[in-house]
Amino acid sequence: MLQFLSNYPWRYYLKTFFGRGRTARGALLVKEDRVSMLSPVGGKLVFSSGLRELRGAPSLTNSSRAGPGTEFRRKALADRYVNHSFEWVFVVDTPEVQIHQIDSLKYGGTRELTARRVMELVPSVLNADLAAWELVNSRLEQIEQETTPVSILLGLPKSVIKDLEGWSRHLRSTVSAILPLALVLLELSITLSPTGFHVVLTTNHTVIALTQEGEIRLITRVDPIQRLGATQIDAIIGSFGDTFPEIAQHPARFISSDLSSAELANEAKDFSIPVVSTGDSEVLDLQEMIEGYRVAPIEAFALYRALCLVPPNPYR
Amino acid sequence: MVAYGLFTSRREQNRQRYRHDKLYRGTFTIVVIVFVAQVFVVAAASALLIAERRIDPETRALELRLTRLASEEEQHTPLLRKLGILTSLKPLIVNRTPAARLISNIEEAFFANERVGLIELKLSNHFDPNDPNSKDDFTIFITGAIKATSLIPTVVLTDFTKTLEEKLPKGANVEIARNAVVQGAETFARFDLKIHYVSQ
Repeated sequence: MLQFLSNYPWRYYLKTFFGRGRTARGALLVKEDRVSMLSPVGGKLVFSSGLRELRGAPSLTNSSRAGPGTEFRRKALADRYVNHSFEWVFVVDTPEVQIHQIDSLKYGGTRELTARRVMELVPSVLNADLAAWELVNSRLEQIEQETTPVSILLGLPKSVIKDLEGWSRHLRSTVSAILPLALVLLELSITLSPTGFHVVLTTNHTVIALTQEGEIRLITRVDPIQRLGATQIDAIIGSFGDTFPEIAQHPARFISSDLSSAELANEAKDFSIPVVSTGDSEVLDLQEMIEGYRVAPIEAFALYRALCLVPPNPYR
Repeated sequence: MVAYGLFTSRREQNRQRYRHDKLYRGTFTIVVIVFVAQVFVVAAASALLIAERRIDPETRALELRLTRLASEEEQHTPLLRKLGILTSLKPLIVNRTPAARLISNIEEAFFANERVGLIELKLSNHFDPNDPNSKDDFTIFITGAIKATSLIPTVVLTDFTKTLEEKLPKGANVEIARNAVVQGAETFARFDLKIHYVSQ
């Protein structure tokens, strides 16, 4: 009864008493060093970057609020109609994001992912109690839909989830999903090269994956390339190639939200296998759809992919 | 596609679900209807209460006045009864034909007929002063004489009767009680007339 009363959305019912209106959805990239947004404005998707400096912008380190008079509301959310019918897809990049490959046989069914269960699956996992855990299959779909031999265990700090949900709640909007940036970039990379190596470089992580026809065969997360060094990453790719020699013949696709195509090519020049740097010229169809993407093309495309990755609200 | 609500808390998922739950929405509609109905009831009750409060002193004053008037009416009952009688008599008084006018009319008839002479006139009124609905009811007995000349007295009496009917007010009934017949060698033939008149 108490739960019923505490969750009773009477304000939402009051606002939607004579009609629920159309649901809009926007994606927000929240990183320690920057915040970007992609959402519809007048029927077109508009990408805005450099929003971190605006007061009231979402943050991973503190529980900021976009109050009525804040700069974020006035400048970033103007004309975007963020209200009770708006849904957010947050894309985050934080050092605490965890990515582990799980053997589905070991996972064994759809049991609830408690911290204890996670510790059983991955004994080396860090701060299992402080993180929320999700499991996806090798096609980055929900595990309940289809169990594949390889599953990916994802972890995200509960504090980040709480802060972002609190920020969204302050705008009366809801949260459709919170996605790690590495996962979104990996999905974008797989879309461009369904078979081959993928090296996803974010500020806090390097995710190396080996895919075959869009399905992940091997995946690992290591430190960012600046800290770990290109040689170490080349070694990991080499060990992956030993496991799947037929796939190793394909070039490795590099994708980064921080580095340009030229910088990526420079980082990968000493690699032992051919390398393809992902640039904005590869996604021409998206260029027509997104306004203002030129500031940070990969970031804009990643946010677009994030919007596509999350299914529509099943409760509607 | 990943699962909807990936990395969202149980609270956020509940928030999403509850927003679209038919049962929740239904309860809200019922609550709103009940609330609106209560608002209407309270508003109506308040309006009635205010109206009652405004009318109450007036009602009390009217009741007091009514009681006072009833006691005054009781006090003035005999006077009122008299007034009632007077009121009912008023048309009678106003429209009354006095006896003097009837006699005057009879006199005029005698003046118009020189051959007819008056011997005696008796007038009686059957008006009941104790009956508010009573009317003047005159009965006049006239005894007269007609000189027997060349004209036959009965003809003269007939003319006189006609003149009387013309002079008297409408509704007066003139009846020949004894006709003017000459007895032997008498010079005058005596006659008797009965006039009956009830005021309208």
